[in-house]
Amino acid sequence: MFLGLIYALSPAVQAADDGGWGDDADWGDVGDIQQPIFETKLYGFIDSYFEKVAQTPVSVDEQGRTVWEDNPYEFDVLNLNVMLQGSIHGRYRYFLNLAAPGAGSNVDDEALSVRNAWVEAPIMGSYLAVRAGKLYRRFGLYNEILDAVPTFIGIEPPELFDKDHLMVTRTTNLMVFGALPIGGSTVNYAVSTGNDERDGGAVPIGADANIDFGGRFRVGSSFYSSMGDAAPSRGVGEGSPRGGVINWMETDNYVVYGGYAQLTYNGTTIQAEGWQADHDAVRDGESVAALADAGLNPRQEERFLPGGEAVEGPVKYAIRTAYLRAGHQFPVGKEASFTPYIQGDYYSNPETIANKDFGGDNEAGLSDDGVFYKYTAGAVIRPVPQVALKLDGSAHQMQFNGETTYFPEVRVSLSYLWQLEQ
Amino acid sequence: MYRFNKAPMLLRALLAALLLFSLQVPEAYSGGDTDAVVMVLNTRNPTKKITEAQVKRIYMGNLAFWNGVVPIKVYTRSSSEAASEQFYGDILKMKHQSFDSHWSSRELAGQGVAPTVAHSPTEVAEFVRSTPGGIGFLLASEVWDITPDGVQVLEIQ
Repeated sequence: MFLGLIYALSPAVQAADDGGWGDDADWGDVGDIQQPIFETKLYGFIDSYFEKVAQTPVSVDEQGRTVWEDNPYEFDVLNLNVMLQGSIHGRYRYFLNLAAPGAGSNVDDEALSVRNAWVEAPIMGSYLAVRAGKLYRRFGLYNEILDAVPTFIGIEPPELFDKDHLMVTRTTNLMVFGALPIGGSTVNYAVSTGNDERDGGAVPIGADANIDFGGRFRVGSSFYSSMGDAAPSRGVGEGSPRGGVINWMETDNYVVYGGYAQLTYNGTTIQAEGWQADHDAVRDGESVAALADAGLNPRQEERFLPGGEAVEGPVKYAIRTAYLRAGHQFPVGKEASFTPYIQGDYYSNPETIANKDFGGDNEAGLSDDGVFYKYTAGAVIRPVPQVALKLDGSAHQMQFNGETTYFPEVRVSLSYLWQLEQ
Repeated sequence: MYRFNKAPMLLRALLAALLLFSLQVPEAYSGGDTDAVVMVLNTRNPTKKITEAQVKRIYMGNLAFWNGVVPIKVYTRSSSEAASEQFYGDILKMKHQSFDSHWSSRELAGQGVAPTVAHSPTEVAEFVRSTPGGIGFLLASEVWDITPDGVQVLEIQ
């Protein structure tokens, strides 16, 4: 659809020339214009992190009372990213993003993993380009900027991309994308595909389109379809899935869709997103039987193991999430700033469980009905643009043991951007 | 559009005076807060007019090529300079801090490299002169401070 749109618009695009400079702005023979062969920038950031979650509900005792458990405080280097971005002859861009999440341990060494490694070539100026390798798909407001933790409001990602319950793989392998200026606005579009979680010959498709009104307001929609059977990225006992297919499925044919909007005006940022994933899956009997050791709540036992018998075979379910974030950046002097923010998240997943080792998550999976709300308030203090101290506190709200239950957590993040001096 | 590089010295001075007069910004002579912002391009660049929307697209990283052909290389000014405050406020309509956050976010997402910072009008001219696809900005009053060879000055439409 997007390629068709581009093709249909291409004569007008060429006539208007890139950026609407007009026919008189002809560069003629550009063969004499020398561009540096390589231009490369090496940079990244270190994000020191502290979190303390208050007592959380874990089970129900024989008298039917909720059992609460203490949680230890946690220091970590939540994000350690080394990035290299550059271009060849000013046209062919490349990007390398290496990360070692959880590198704060004193007893374990974390290996650097490849988050992104891609090359990009323009096909038609800014209107059409192709990117290939390992790349973040364009999806909503956050997927491409989640490694830019020091810059966005809030410490944690929206629930859509919480690594404990991803709704879709964050990375893919091939993306065609571009931007079309229309007056003072810009239409951005992207179509992507890749290995993702495909099982067999499926060709998963992701798409995103948005309109940016002069940098102040952006509204858009994203879509993803596994286009056939997808397989779990991790098995039961191997931890949280890396995509939308939960660990105890044999196959899953699913779509994710939704919309987003962002208003940026005079230092104020307001963001809203809403997403739904419709799953048409087949449970693997052996994997479901293994959930007997996962500490299921009564609703989950009824769903997966009624009477001790594993419920395998086809299952259809929907995951929903939405959030609203708002913040305002107060400039302080020439370089410093103070940005208070608030945010509210909603997430619902009837198929998940609490035990993360088995592929669940300890938020929706902890609740009676697979639903939780999270309310957050915090602030970002930047003494200089390259240093961000974030402090925030959240309250989880969920139904547990038949009661509305709250438990708070506090987080502190101190992140430094760095770069090789140029 | 004003081309300086091929004119004799006297003519250059006359053209520079005409430039400031044609901008119709009397404050340009004062160097005060109400001074107008002008864009500086390499003389190899055939662009004859530039709009505020185009400048904004370029500086926010949403336009990467001149006419889809030549890569755009963007130069900005340090936050301590008056030209910087004027440019961010009048043209980009944002605070310097917001501009920095915007580019930090883009860099960490692999969506481009932040504009190179020039620390004086002379440095802006030097950068643009050496880069055919270069673009920078000055206050109109600062046009006097630069060596005009190899650069052209455009007022923003």
